[in-house]
Amino acid sequence: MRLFLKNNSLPLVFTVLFLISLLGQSLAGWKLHNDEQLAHDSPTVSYARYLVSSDFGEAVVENWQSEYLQFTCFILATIWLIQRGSNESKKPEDAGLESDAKHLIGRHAQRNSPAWAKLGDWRTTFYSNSLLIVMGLLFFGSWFAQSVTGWTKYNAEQRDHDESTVSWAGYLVRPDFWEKTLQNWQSEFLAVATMAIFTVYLR
Amino acid sequence: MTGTRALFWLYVVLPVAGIVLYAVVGLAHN
Repeated sequence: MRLFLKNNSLPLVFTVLFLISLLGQSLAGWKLHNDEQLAHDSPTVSYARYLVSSDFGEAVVENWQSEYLQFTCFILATIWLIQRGSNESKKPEDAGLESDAKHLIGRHAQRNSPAWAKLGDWRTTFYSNSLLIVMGLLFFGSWFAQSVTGWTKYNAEQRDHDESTVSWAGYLVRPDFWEKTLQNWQSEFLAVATMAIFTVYLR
Repeated sequence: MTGTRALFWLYVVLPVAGIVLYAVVGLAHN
């Protein structure tokens, strides 16, 4: 057990921080939501109901999508783009796609490599891009979840104000969707650029 | 190694569960 904690301390610590933050977000969001309900003479909701509301769901997944986008972009960009002197970047001479020998795939796979690394067909291609593929799928999945929870919230507000509701496709071109999307994206891109350049000069 | 593999799958299952949950919530409540 002690060895497990020691060998996996990085994700474990961040898992605990994630759960504490999510709990705090849900409690603060619940309180805020019910304060707004009372201000509009509307019924309040239980904590359990708030956890499965579009209000909380959108707040959660709109941040998730931008984090997965950050890693998807970082994985993709760092194949070709470099920052000389940064330990977040490859060396300039290593820019570009890496060889099968370096990835230990196809005929360069080793005895203890995963089965898909050895096959040499589409499954090996999938395996050698699996980090990018899975991160990209999580990005598009959470962005989709943001769009439908945001759509539901948007239409609920439209109904409250006796205004017309919109279709899901209609919501995707509304400023509400793009303001929530881009406010998260800009901070992720700023963070990546900052990390790349700061690590050249700062220790 | 089994514990590390379990952590890996946790981080696959956790976001997928959240995404599916809130996609369903969003679609069901509209």
